[in-house]
Amino acid sequence: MRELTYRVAIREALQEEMRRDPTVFVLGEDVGKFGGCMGVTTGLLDEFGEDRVRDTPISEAAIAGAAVGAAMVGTRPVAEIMYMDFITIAMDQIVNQAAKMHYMSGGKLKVPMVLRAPHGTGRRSAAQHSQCFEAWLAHVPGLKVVILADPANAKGLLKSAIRDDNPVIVIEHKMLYNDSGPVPDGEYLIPIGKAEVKKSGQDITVVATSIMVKKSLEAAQKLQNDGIDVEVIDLRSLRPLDTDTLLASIAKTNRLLIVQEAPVFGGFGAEIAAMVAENGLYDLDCPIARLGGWEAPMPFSPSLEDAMVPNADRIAEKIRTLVKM
Amino acid sequence: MVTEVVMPQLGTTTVEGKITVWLKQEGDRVVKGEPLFEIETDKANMEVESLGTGILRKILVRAGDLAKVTEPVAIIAEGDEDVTGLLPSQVGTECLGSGAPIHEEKESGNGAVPARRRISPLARKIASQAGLVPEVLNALTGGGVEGAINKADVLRFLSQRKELQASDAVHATQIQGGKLQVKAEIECLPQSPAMQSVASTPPVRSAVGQGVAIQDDKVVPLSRMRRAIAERMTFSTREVPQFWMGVDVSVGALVKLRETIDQRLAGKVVSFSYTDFVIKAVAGALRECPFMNVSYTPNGIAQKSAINVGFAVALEEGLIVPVIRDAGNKSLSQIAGDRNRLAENARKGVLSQEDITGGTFTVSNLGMFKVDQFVAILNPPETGILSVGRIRQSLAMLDGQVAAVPTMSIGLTIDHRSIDGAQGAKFLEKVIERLEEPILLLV
Repeated sequence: MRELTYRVAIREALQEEMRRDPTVFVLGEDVGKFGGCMGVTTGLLDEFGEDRVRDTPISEAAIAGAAVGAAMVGTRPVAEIMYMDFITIAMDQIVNQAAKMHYMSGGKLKVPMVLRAPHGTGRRSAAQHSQCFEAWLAHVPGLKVVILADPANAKGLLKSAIRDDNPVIVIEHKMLYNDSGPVPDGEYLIPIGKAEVKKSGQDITVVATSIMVKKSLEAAQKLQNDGIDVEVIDLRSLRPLDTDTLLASIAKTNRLLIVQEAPVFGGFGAEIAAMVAENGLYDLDCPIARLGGWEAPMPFSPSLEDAMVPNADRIAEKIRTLVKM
Repeated sequence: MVTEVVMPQLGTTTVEGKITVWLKQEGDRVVKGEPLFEIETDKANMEVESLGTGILRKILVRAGDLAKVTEPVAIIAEGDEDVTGLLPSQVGTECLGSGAPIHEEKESGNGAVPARRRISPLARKIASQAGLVPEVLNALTGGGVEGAINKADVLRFLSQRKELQASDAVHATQIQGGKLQVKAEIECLPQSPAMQSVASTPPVRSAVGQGVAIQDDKVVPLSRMRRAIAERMTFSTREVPQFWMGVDVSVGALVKLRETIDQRLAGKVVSFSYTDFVIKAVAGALRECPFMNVSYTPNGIAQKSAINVGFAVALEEGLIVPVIRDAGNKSLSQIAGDRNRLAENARKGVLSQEDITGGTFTVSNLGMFKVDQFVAILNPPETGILSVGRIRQSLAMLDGQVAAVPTMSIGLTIDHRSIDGAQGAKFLEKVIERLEEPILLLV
């Protein structure tokens, strides 16, 4: 199978969908001439022109609001928010408009928009450019939330998101854009709401999203030599959540570690933990554990930033204590 | 008067005890000296008498739960006395008897509630599906952090129980084959988690024989002693790989020495039995062979500093092993004195908990019966037990002549997890040396 970077896989999804459906267009800060702050939309302006690749003013509220309006009148906008941190400014449009219109119009309106945004640490971008807000968004009925953890999933999930008639938040990770991975040739879709078992194992289930899937797989690799057989699950979609895959895995391994980059308190891991406690308690042989970011703003200092979030060593260490419990 | 009932100190090394049954219930009237509850130790079960008179107002530690020594387990008071101050806040304030108005908020009782046994939800589910009653589940040894009971612990227990049941079935068949037809349904309740073993007796229901019931047959309920013996011996044979070796000891000099002491010192000192000489010999050998004075634990071999030698005393209802403390530093007379006192108290049933705990080695003498030699079962957590047979005349070559020689057969059973045959043999050699040249026992 051919190898693509995560960045190119996302670009390919956009290109394919724009070629397939003339109502699909992208908008965002610097997505046109500059090719996107993360380089995802490079080349799209040349192929699709200014009508379908729109540079916007620096106003996240305007970007999201324009997308909501355009979606309501029959197009399929794919808006880019340069850093997920800035989604705060667009929250009214996302939460109060995009998520509500279908319901409030009695089903007469639909909002088939996609909002892409990179989250996460690693680029020394400090407190206002490193956050992970997936839990905020997944909390809102009416939104779908997917997180792209590798090139193949990135392409398939984004294509499904563009074709979905509901507003879908697509979260990317800024440190994954240069990662390469196998991507199938040609047209394929990955359904929203279906988790993927990235590595099968017997001893413990590790649930993660985004770059934490990669870190968890690294941890699983380290532990393989110690005879600890870790199952790693990429949730892929937070809402809707694939509870079946999770519960089936826990029924097999009897142990659960949830890994997230966001701070633990009130994070999406809490939802997973609660769901498993409600539906899978009698399959658990030890307490559910969560591993996440420290409860503090992200420091600029590289060494402090690295210490703030889970890495493969910390995940492996946590797994070691859990399998002994 | 308000009496706070506490978990008694059962032995010098005991830190906690398990309440097996409450003989009085909340609301019952209790008179000082009446049996109040039963506790269980690694040696035996015993009744604890009430130190106060009044109404059993509150049981703080339920049957089946552990309590630290000196931790309050119940409160006895008259019906109108306010005992809320003694209640740990976690227990809640409901308490039998009218008493003074109950205040909702009380100072925290510093965690007087015994820690709940940690059992994983999965372990609970498997146990419940297998029909294990909570008492059995609680009594399992947990392999998890802080003794938590996990899936693996329950599965191990279930598989061991299955083996046990299989062997019961074989036994039942054998009985039937031998024309003895018994219909009995035996239910053994678990009693002894203190034995640190999943072997604590599961509720094995074995319908022995489906055939014709014979009217005269009956099942005698297990006494507490019988139950303790059954559990300890079952545990020992199931959990401990035992290695046995035996030897004939020429005890002519020992017989002569004992006779001399008997004749010369009759009435002046306590009477000496062969057991005393053997205990003295064992204590001396243990001092030279500290590797025998150990206990196997999953975390390592525990070296015992004191040499405490137990000796088996047969009783009508069973068997008990009083312990001669610090036998390594005691003279033959002191050992004989201790043994006489302990054996006497054992027969009277007045041994203290202190008297039957802390042993590091056991001597079992059946020499008073017509037994030449036998294989003793280890008394865990000890690493060795010496079996002693009767003294008999046997023929041996002495200076080229066949001669009758007083001979005693002794056998050593060891825990092969802690030590090996060669060490056992070395220890045995030190015992033999002392029995063959008993002068060594006197210096």
